[in-house]
Amino acid sequence: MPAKAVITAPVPTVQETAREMGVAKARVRQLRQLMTDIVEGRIGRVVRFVTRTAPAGPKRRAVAKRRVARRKQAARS
Amino acid sequence: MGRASRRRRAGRRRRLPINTAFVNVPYDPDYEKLFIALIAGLSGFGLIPHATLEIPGSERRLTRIMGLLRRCRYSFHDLSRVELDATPPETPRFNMPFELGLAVALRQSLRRRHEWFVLEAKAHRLSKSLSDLGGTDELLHGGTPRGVLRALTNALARSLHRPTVAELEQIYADLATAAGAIKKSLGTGSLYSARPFKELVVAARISARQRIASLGPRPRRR
Repeated sequence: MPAKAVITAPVPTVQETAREMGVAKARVRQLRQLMTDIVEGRIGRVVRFVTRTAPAGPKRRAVAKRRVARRKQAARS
Repeated sequence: MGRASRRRRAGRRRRLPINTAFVNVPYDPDYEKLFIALIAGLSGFGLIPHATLEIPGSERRLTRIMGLLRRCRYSFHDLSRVELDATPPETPRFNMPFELGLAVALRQSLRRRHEWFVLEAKAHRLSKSLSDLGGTDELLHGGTPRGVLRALTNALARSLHRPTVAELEQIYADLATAAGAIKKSLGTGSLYSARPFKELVVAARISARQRIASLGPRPRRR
């Protein structure tokens, strides 16, 4: 077993991969559509590994404020 | 023999693809996430995964395995399933170590370049379960998809671009979502048959080209 294998071969295209695997062109088109939908976030949870960077919007801020106020009130009573 | 005739003879020999990888893993439901991770990781490195399940069943299984191994430049053997299975009579699975043996023999006997890698879930278990491979450092994945991707980044490198674990994880996330859609559209509950596997490999290639810029189409020079 080598310590590390350096791959120098060119990266196969989608068409080359489909030909190697015997997947029909029409099906490749469907898969391409499916993967584009997934990558662009139209299907499934694809932002699993991406952390939220944008600040909370006014609606979320208001909800959070109300939650804290309620918690404080409950603690006092 | 003249040089021209020698070249003609060499031309007749079938050229072997140099970006193919043979995947030798247990086909059980618990392993499905790691199977997806392995396909995602190999596709992220620009390789085309192959497995025994993609060839029609009319041929003898051993012939199929040998044929596939010969065609592949790399092979990945997961020896993490060494426990006894629950169904009586209790037996361990010998398929994976046997296929690893075939790959090692292929490397020793043929002039063709074939590089094999061993994956394991637990450290130091390989030296106990298969002591003949003493001195071989197994790739540890700890039974997690992230571990599989980390192991692949330790084993492989590309000359132009080395994908990071974060990039491979994005392909894995895409592929895990696509796996559900593919299973649903094919009306199957498992990925361990020819068609879902082949479609998963193509889906992984599409995702890899979209997620990793260096794997995408190169801009044409003017």
